[in-house]
Amino acid sequence: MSFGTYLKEIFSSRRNLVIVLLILLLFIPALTRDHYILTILIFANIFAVFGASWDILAGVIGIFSFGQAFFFGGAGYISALLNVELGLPPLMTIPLGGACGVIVGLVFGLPSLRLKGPYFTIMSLLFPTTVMALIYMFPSLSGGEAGIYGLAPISNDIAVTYLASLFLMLGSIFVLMKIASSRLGLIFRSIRDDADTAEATGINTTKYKFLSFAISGLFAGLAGAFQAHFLMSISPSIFNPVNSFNAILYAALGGMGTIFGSVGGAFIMSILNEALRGIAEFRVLIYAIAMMLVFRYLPEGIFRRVGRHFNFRLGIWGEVKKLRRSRHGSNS
Amino acid sequence: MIEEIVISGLILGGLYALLSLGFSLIRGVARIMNLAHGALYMLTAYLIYSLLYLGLGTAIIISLVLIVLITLIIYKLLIGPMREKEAKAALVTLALALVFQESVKLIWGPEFKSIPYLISGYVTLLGVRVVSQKLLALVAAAGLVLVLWFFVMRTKIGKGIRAVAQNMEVARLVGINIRRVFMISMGLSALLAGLAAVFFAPLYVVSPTQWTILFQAFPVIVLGGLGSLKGSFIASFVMSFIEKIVEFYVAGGYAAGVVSFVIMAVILLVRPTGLFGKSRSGGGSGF
Repeated sequence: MSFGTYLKEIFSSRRNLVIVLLILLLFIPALTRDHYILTILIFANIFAVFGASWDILAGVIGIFSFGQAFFFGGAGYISALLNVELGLPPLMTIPLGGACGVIVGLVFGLPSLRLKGPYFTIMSLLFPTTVMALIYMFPSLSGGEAGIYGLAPISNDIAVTYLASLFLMLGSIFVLMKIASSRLGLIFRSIRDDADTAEATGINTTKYKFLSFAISGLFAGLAGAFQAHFLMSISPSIFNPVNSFNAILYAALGGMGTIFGSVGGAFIMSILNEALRGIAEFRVLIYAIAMMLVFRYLPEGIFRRVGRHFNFRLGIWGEVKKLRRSRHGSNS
Repeated sequence: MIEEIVISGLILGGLYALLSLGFSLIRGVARIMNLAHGALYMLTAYLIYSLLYLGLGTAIIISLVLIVLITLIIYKLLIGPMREKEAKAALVTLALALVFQESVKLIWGPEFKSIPYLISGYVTLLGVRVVSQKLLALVAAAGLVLVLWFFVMRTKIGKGIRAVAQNMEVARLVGINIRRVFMISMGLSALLAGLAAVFFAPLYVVSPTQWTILFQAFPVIVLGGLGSLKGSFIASFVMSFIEKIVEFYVAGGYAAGVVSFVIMAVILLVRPTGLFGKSRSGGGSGF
């Protein structure tokens, strides 16, 4: 077998592709210790988890939240306070941030559960902005407009921080994808497709919606706490609607309901973000236009679209291989 | 103190009424949640600001025409085709609001602007000196609400609007051109946002983030129930007075926002369709 056909063989299955990408991501610190590149990748990892935490709500159970920044920022603030006020190390505050994310998710879920359509949208939009107002109201506790700074860094070595963020991302995506493809995920999707029918078949939709808020809060909380420690500070602007908006953009660009899509979306947007550094004042504008274009023209996400485009090659190889394998199996 | 609260409460209530009516109108008729509604208000203020050299009257007329045209073009190209997917359409309108915010920041700069009063001077009412512009804004808000009510309740187009709001399918069956009704409601809603800017923007600052006034009006919209004209009107003044009382007696503007959020959350806990809302999906049977 020549090297060319060998390469084709590798890239013909998604599993092999994922393994190659994983190895690449793991060995990046061995290739470069460049502070700049690793910082971009760390942000990409954090954003991937943040996007995926929105995707489990919107893409899987069908709760289209506009307030994901509430989970992210809420947990970030609590872990920042735990670190600065109580002196807990990041190794404790980040998991605690995730736990707080669960609580924050339930706080969000309690008044929003029974709401439908526009009322839910309004509620989810106002949750983060109300917390922002509360932070301004109590500056002695929350640091007010300046925020909280002086958090302990995750590690002084950027390569270690990168690996930590990579494991956070891989672990979160793995767990979320397992949830989405499990029996629980099936129940979630049945609620998304038709909540009334799901209820009629005996599914306690309220319970599962609560559960999905807790799951989403957990992972958004982990990401938020990680980011707070990575930046060593947190400010009220984290509750800005634009931040919730970003989570949606990562997931939607990659493909809603796929979980792994937000990894791709987050990496694309992080790299784009750096490419646009020279024209920083256009950044939000470009993000917003990207969002409109994605929802208007690319509702299935960039990967499914590109995949469909190249289906002719990738797909057929995959199919032929599957066919060959199944025939082989039945003959022997 | 008391008169201060009464006047600023009435003014804020008038602004809430105009904004929430425009928002409820298009949501009730076309089931579109236009999160860019506040951005239309902000954009009109900026258009007036930059056309001032033509004279105030001309600037206002051109700005209103422009804002309606811009809205209709956006509706045709972007929002209309996505109308069926409500949450995604709402997200696109939020993106649109950010596009407006950033464009305004790029064109006119991030610093605050102001547009001139339509009339100057003071009026003395019951021994209190009131800026004439405030009085004018209040009268204009009341007048516009009445005109809208008359238009929706007493004209043929208004009947069509109510029919579509009540039942889109049946309205289509009896021969109403629902696409045209959507366009008319969209234009009307943009015109209301524009007129709100004409009368109320001189009383507040004009800034690129001013569109978030819509977020501030959300508790009003919930309290009034989406699609209920009367409900929105009453709720506007109830909420504005509560906010002003909290702001003056308790602890400033941030506390007012928090209190109105808590009121909204409690209302939604008890009644998930708002206080005056009727149908569960927020459809507008109230029109």
